[in-house]
Amino acid sequence: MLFLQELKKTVFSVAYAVFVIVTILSLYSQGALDFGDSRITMPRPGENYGTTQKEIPEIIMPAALEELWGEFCENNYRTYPIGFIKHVKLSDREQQQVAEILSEITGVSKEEILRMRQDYAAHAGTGNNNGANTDFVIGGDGNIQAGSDGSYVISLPENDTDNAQVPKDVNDLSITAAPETLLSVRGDMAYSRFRILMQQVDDILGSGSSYAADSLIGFGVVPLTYEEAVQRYNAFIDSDKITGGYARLFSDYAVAMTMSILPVFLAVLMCTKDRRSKMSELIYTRNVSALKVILSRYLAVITAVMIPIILLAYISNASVWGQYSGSEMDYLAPLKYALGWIMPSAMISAALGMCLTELTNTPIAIAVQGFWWLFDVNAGIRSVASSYALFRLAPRHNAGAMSCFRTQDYLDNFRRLVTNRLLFAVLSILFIAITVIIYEARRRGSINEKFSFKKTASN
Amino acid sequence: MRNSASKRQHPIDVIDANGVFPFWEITRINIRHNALLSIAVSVVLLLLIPLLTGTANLDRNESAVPLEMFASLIGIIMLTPVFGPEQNPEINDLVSAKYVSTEKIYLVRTVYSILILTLLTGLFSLYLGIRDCDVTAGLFLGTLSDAVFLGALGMITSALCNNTVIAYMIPMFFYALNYGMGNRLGNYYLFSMAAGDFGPKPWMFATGIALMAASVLYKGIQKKYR
Repeated sequence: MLFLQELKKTVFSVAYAVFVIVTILSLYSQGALDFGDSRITMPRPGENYGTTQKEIPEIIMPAALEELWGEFCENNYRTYPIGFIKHVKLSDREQQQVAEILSEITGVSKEEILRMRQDYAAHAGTGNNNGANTDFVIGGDGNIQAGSDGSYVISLPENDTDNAQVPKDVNDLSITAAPETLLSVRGDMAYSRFRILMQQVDDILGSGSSYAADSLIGFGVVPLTYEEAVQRYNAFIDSDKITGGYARLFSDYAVAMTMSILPVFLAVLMCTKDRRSKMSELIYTRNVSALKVILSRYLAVITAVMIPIILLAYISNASVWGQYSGSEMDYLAPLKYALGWIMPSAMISAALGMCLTELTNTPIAIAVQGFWWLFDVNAGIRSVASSYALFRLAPRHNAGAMSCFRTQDYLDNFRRLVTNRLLFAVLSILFIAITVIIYEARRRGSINEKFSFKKTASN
Repeated sequence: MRNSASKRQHPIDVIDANGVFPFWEITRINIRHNALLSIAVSVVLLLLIPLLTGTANLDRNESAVPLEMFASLIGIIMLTPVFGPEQNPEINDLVSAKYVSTEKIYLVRTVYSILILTLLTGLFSLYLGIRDCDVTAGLFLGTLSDAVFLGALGMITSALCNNTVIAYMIPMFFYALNYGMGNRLGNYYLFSMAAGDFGPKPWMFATGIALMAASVLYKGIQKKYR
């Protein structure tokens, strides 16, 4: 059977041995092969449960304004278009647009805002930097603490407790400006309008800033309450059935570190192997359809790369089974995640590799897949939404035991994940169909060795 | 005085009619037949960097990001295929029958690949400088060290496995490892300049050169005992 021959050829190659070793080392370096020391226990009252991001306008608006004012004064805006910092310097006209937005948010005239900026620049120029970053405070030096009733209380240092300006809970939160500051969020500013204005700032900056409407939540960092911590724990137990969370974390590492890039090497090698051993012409003349040759080769590569990944997924997952003995666990979780989460990335990587190699007779597919992987892996995980974006080669969910694997985020984005994975599976099949056509054309001599279509008499 | 018989006994000493080793002639032919694709891919990578990360108004540490995290990758593209053409048995037989020793051809390819990647890294550093980034000679040399080290990993793998495709895997794996392991890689941490640490760069450069020398030497020994 052709499939078994191709599988044997793949598995008994040096490249495959390198693939397996590199995969094991990559996952080992991330600690993804042994989660043994990460048992999650039921939260207890009074513990520190970490923080979370919440869309609380009273927290988000002043914090976002503070950052925008600082960047506006310096005309040095930080954006992260695909994960890395990009400094944006605006033109005078664009700065005027930002000043208009600041004016609407604060109620201070645009002219006054521009004058304040000039003052700032003058201070900065003389080294007397009363930087804008220091002009805005929320509750002085205090900390925001979650109350047992779900409210947020700002605690202050001892010497500030007599400051009557400080709000005591989230309902009273408003920006408290330092005495010399004139800017604050207008009292009647609706959050919906604020979001629109901030999105306009993001558009001016060319996107990727913290002011994008779906990124504003990043300004709303608050402590997690006991009730929320319990809810999060229950989602891990009930929905993930314990093993699901660990399998997801393994998949996150596997897909980003190895499976969206390494299969392309095997695919390129398998396609060039016949040519290297001068067997192409012999195979071309065999009475086997192009579909059968390509499909067998493709399935062999996918099978070969998935076998060690499934084994490693189980090795990784089994490392925690003993810690939860007596609890209900889903023992099929590693298999489900390997096939559903990891395999579509391996499929597209191998399919693109085969397609471009058959087309060009060069290893250019490695460069193409390498660039794609480089873009994707550096796109980072700025927000949960971007981690499950439609065209993410490697969907990310880098949440470990500390955050109880953020099961709810996963459940909320499950449909998007399914759409993404199905899209990649379909694209892979499309690439393979194109590969079959190219292979058949080569076999018939319509494409010569150096990728130039022959002008045959039949044409 | 050299005679034709001694020339045949010592093919490594081949010289042209003017008594000079035809470095530029070999370089010109090899670039035309073997390096154009690598150069094109390297240029494309450098052109894509501004889409990946900021390339304007960066301070010294921030300027290290486009250089060591992205520009250094051209080392893999330029140096890994140095042994590529002779991995085709027919070409290998043909080259082996030529007067100029294969090792010398490898050396020529290595030298011009390093020169090209130095030129491309220099041009990219210049581009950053023009865009008000604080690029220093240290950053440029550090990037070059990363590129040489990554390329040398590809070269040694290619020499050992006699397969360029596999050879691309190892430096790519090492690059990916740097994302996960960070400065736990010690003197072999590729992205140290972004944290202001230039200490690993001499190590990388020295190891890179040693690996290159070892790979060319190994190819020579392999040919001798084949």
